[in-house]
Amino acid sequence: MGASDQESPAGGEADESARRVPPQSAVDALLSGGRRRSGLRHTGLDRDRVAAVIDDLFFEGPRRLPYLRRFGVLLVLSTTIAAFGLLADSAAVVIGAMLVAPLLTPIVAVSACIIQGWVQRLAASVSLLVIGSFAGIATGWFVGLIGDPTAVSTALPGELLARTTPGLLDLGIAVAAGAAAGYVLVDREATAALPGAGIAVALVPPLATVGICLEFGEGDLAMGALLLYVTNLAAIVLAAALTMLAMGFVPSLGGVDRPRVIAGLAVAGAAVVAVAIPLGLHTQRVVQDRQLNDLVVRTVPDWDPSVNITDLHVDTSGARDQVELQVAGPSEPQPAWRLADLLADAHGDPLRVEVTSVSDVEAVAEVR
Amino acid sequence: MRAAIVFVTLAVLGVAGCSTGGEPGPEPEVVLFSRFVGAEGERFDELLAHVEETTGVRVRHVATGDLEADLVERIQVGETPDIALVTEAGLVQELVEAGAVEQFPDELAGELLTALPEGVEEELADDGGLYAGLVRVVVKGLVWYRPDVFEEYGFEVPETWDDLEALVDEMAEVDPVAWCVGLAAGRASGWPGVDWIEAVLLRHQGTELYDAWANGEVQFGDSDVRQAWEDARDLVLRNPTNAGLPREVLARPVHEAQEGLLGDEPDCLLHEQASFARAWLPEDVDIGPDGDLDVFLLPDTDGGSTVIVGADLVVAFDDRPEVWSVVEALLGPGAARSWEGDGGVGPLGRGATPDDYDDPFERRLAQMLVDAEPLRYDASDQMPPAVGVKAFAEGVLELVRGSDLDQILDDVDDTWSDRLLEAER
Repeated sequence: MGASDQESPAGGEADESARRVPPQSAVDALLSGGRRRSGLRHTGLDRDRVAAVIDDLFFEGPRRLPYLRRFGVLLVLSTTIAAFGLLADSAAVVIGAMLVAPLLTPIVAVSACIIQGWVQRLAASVSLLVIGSFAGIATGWFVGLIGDPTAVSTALPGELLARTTPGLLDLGIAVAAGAAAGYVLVDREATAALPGAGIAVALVPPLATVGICLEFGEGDLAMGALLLYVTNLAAIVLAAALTMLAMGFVPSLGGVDRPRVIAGLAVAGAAVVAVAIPLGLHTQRVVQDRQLNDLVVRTVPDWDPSVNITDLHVDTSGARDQVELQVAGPSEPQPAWRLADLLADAHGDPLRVEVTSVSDVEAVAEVR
Repeated sequence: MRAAIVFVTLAVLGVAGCSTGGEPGPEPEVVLFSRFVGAEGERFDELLAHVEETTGVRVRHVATGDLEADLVERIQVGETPDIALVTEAGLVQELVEAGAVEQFPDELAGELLTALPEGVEEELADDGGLYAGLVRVVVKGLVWYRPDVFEEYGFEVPETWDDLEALVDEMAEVDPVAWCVGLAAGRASGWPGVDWIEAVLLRHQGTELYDAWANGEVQFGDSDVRQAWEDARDLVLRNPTNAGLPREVLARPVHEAQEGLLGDEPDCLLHEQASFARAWLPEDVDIGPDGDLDVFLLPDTDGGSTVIVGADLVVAFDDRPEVWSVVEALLGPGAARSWEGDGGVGPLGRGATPDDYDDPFERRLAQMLVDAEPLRYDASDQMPPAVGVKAFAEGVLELVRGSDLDQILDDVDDTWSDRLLEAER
């Protein structure tokens, strides 16, 4: 089975010849990254399983061109499906797109290269990922361009916005899903679980979101979606690598270039830490937003018992915390400064309050 | 008599001499109420940090976009702040009449009285006592424009009023409209038009009529005052090529009007607004003859250098020592410098000169004040707030809507006897 199928049984690899287990000499060659390194051999897995893993992850020689064609087609199709699903605010369609997506294979291939110290394969896999990422963003941008603007109306769809504000929970999901991908790859009996891992890590929706947001001129939202994508990438690479190590997909200690392996793992670990910092900050902001939101809800009755909250947005990301409040009541509400004053007492930080009010007085008229 | 009634009312409400400030303690705190929200508020908070540092007093700054109405309401319900910054000397006079504000200590007052610009002293002082101090002066009647766009179209900065009218006629031949105008500002909508009419009246009719009108000795219905309304309307609203359609002018927020100047294809070519509009601009906009934007003063009929100023005035509602410490720090020479970049200057005369300003734009503003002849304080700010803040601005909106001018002016004149404190009661 081809690499794309790890994310996508539906993206079916009909070419059974590609599933064949290579001859022993070819496995040895693959194990050495095309460059025989004396003493290099796997100690934790038997040769058949190693060969199968390599067969799933790397497409070299005559298999390369068909794989790249398949990868390109599935990437564009899956991102297109995801982008339309996002614009249509349809979670089901977005999940469907993830089943078609081919990105998990080169990502897990990067993990394998790190463990094995395969530099050339690493470069090839990373190149494919980078090109694929740009292609995915471009596809999202194009769908954003041709998508009916009226379908988007004035507010961006929730499915789209959900992918622009990643938090630590997303990192946790990506780590677990990456571990699952690594596990399933090595344990050949568990491949049925692979589509689930592909869905959980959600690679193409954030890519499509980046493209759509760029086309809409929403640079900040695009950056949020890009952060989600990079989070998924880094977490999967590290988690899959560690899982594969734990499962015995390791070269012998005598022959492996240990500094290179350690350096590779360190880079992956550093990448996870690097994305964890903004994610942590964002998660903290979400918590702060929630706290301020709750404070406003508790304080409004003390401020003006005659009004009801009809809309409330808080934002604690700027230099000054912001509260945008819409209320309805029988008359003009109390002055906004008094609410700001009450909130500041409990909140402790400077804040800005914007209050808009609508009358909820009903007027009835009939004509006969 | 009316002032006495208001005073009694306030006393009954337990407001006179009572404020929300607590007893002096190890960390004294004062409550300061201002209109500085948004970017202006952030800059003012920098000044307050300087004040806190020099006085050791914590300042709780509460800002509102509707200062006059909210301040009066605070006084009426007994939540009077310790200090407020207002823009209208007319409001200060009402507060004095109501007995709501404290007279400045003699030592501080003596120093400040010598530094007040001509025409302002009588507005802030009563029976020899001083009730307000000038924290910041802004230059009104500036016209903002794009030097590069002027060069592209071959326009020249006008030297006289006739030149300005000719320039506006010339601008009718190009795509962008001449003036960027926006009047929407919530309950204060219309105020930029007030500045327009004051500027025209002072330049066309002279200081004598201007002063008499500001003091209420000449009414809005006076034929010369009426002429100023007509002249302003003709210059800004006569044709759609002047400032666009009336409904656009009415709906466009004041703070956003200047955005029409910016961008690759500007919507408009000139924007009349006070120097504080600098705080509304994006931070990377460079102001100067070779910059992104530049300014010139609305010209006189004879090429003179008439300047109208607005002011932020500090008043105190309590006489605790920490209150006066903060007031004095706000008025100190160091305060103006720590507030640079907001598009205003500290009052000159207490040892401050234009050269004290590092910022080139504010140095120019300070120099305009030095060179001004005549220099006048904003007329509407001298009027009772019910006239200058409310009725005058509402009259401007009616003018744009096309209502009968005589009726508009009569309606404004009918409010001269109204008082904001009383009206809100």
